[in-house]
Amino acid sequence: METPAPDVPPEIARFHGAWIGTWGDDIRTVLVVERVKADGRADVIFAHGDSACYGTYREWWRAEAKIADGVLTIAGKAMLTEWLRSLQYAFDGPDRLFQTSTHHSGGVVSGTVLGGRDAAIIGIACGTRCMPLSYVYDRRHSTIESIGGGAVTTLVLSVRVNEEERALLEAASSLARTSLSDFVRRKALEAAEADILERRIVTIPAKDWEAFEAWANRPPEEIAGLKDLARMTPTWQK
Amino acid sequence: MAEVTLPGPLSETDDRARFDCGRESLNHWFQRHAWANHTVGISRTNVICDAATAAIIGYVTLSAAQIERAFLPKSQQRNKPDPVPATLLGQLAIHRDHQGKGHARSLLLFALRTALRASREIGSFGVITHPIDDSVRAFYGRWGFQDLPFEPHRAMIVRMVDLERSGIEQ
Repeated sequence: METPAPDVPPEIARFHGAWIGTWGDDIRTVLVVERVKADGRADVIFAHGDSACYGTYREWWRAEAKIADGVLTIAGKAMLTEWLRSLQYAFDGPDRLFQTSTHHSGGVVSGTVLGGRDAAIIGIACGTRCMPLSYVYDRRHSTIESIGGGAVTTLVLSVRVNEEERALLEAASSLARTSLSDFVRRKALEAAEADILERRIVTIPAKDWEAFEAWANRPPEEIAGLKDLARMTPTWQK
Repeated sequence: MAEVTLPGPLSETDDRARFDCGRESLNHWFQRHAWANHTVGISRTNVICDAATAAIIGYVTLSAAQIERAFLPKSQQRNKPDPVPATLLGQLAIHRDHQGKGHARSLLLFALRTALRASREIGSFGVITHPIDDSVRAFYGRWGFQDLPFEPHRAMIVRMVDLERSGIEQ
């Protein structure tokens, strides 16, 4: 790792460090930005783990990336994973990058990678196994889509099913004349909403119980919204 | 605006199949579960209807609920508090042809009055609801609900004592 020179603009220098996370909900991935230069070039190490889900094997390589307009890109000859077209990273928080991979097959998969210059994270990224990798994993994933010129961020949730379940879901989505993804999303949300609405037991964390009791036992209060509601005439009386 | 019936208990002959509030989870629950829950007493559903056609305009559901402290290992359990009884305002929905006419807040007022009256006979600390999106949260917030403190899933509540103090009862 080489500390950025004073002439490196801060928007480029901030990429310097080690970034680690998961990708496609399954693939452990590491990006180490070893060196950044004032013109936006960066020396990086990229690595990913095995994934039975995606049928990929671990690999790592060094390459030169480009940083421009707030995005670090590895593409073209620098891309040494044969099934990937490009990798792009953009900040989603002070210590959070979104990794978006574009595949030759046309697929786009994104994941969050956490990191920075923290010694523990750099250690993990560089191979130190002093703590479980899952310590810094973030299971939130997202795909950034562009709709009508505006950026809309949606989260990707991977669900594992067996072949029989997948066939059933595909048949049902076909009957509903919708995509498998949209069908699963819609049905899952319906079920989630129904469960939430029916939640009859509300649990307060034990550490907060006394404070909750204090809140519950405070004197009665007049509430403006309730007073407004009390004054209205129901539609069946109009 | 169509003439509306007084809120009344759901009956088996009410045409639930044609009800469409635009939200499939609420339609599905009403069509598949409302009557079964109503008959066995798990929850009570009241409906308002178009006085001329008897088509259902909206429904609201109340049931018993409780607020409890999270589980603690036995070694840490000391003076375990009793759960706090409450009332759940589970579902409130208006047919899409009748939205924007004041039926939702009318049914909310009906539900709060019903819950307050019932709490005089069977104790209940407050009315809880679980908004499923920000627009629903804003609706309940407008009419006096607040986030239930310390509840990680952002349930909303209004206390019975506040309903009483604010003049909700007729």
